[in-house]
Amino acid sequence: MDTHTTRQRPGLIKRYGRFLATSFSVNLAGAMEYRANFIVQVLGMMANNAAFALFWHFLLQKTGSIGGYTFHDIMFLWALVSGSYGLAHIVAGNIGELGSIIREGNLDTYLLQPKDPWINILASKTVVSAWGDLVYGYLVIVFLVGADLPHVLMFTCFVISGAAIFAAVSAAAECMAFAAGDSSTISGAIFEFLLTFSLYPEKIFGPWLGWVFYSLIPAGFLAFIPRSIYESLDWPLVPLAMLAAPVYLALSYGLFRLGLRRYESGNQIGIRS
Amino acid sequence: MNGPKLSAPDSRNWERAIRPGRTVTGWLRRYLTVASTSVQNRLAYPAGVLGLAITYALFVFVFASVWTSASQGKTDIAGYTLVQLGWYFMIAELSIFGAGRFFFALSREFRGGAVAYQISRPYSLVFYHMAERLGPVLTESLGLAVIGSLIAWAMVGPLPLVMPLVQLASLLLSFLLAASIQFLLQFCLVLLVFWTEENTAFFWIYQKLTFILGAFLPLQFLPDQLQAAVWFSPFPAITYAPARILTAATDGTEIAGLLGFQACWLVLAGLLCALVWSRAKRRLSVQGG
Repeated sequence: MDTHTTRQRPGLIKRYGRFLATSFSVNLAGAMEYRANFIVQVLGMMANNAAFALFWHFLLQKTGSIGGYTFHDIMFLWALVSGSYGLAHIVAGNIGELGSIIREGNLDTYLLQPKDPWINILASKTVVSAWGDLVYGYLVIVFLVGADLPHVLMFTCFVISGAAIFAAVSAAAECMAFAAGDSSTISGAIFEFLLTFSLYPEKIFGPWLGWVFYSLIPAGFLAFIPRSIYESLDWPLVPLAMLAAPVYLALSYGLFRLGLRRYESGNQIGIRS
Repeated sequence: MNGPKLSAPDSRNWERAIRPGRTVTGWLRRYLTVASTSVQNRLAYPAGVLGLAITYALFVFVFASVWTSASQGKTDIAGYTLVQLGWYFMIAELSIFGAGRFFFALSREFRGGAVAYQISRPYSLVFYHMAERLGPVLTESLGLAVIGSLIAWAMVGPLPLVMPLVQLASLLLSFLLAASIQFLLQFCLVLLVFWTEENTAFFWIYQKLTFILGAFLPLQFLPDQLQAAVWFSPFPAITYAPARILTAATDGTEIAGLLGFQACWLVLAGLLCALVWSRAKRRLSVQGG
């Protein structure tokens, strides 16, 4: 009698789902080791974002709407961008560090591990203050924008796709380190452009920047299209709008694999910290 | 062998310059030497400023776009024309980008324990850091000012000046005062590491108050009661004063008032810094090594 039973290996998505969940819980446990620091950073980031709400309040009191956006519309942008930025940096805290990991030869550690190096690197860190951004996003959407439950659910869908776009664009920009070495200035600028342009009314920048917002700096997919769908609560359009996220993720992943072909190991011996 | 020689006289000059002097000239020479050495170090790596310049240019562009859109169909907002608003932000933001970034580098240095050997050297630690940081900051600000002026000019047009020479000379003095006040206040925030390990949140709050109270918006945009209260804080001295002097000051009395306000805050910030540093020193323990 054959006593050996072959346990079936779970599917790829399930395995990586488990891996991401484990990374998340380990990162969170690490952050909670310094509980006071965690609370200070989260509250500090929320106060940081709240200052901009005050700015818009004072400005719009004097000017009325700007670029067709009222205070309510601007706060939607802030809630969505803040929530997306927060989620991206909680789950994939290394998106801004990928370039320095490549440049300093720390990629070797991840290449030797069985998981996909791109996912492994991005998910191996969390940014504590990003929790403040995520919580702030939900506080703004509920209390300043005044969202009901269906709107909060739709908002959550856009936060998830926005986080994926943030992670994809940032990681793609960081991949320039494969070709150019220290490209932190340019990659930082690309991320700053995406973050900043997403937070202001699209129309104030004029039509000549329109194509940039739907290609290189996808503020349109991250914030502007979700805003118009959110206003009309048009659920059938939500999956279409979210489709941009996997496309950008695939492009970002492709760039990383392409860059990996150029990577030369420095035979560095190190440990993951 | 005819190889390159080390510049021994230079190092001797430096040593002579930082030796404690009894005269004001000696005192000034000491810190000017620190500042010029720091400027030379920074100029050796000009690419390091590129990221800062890109972000500054982005913000000037974005705010010029905001003001252009907001000003459509209006001759002025809160007493400022579109041209004044565009240039106001350019100068106010220059004060933050060019001369408001002391905190993180200083915090790293203090947390790293560099204070342990710096404190025994023959100079004032506060003035040493001030000279070391202000030198490069003022040099970088010149470059940023050129970039910001070009963008503001292209987006909102040239700024008409009522008293060009007085305004430009006052702007330089005002900017120097603003940079010094910012240094002293941020130095106080850095010194909080002697009481609490995590001091970044304090800086965030300080920075956002700077943004709201005079940088993103002229004070005339704030509600009346807040406008009155703000003058009891140092924030108008940091961004509003230099930006107002260049863009909207109507006469010499207003300029003199703004410079006087800044001078008062420089003295107050200096006294606060001396007080906090004297308390912080009591909490410092050097373990040798």
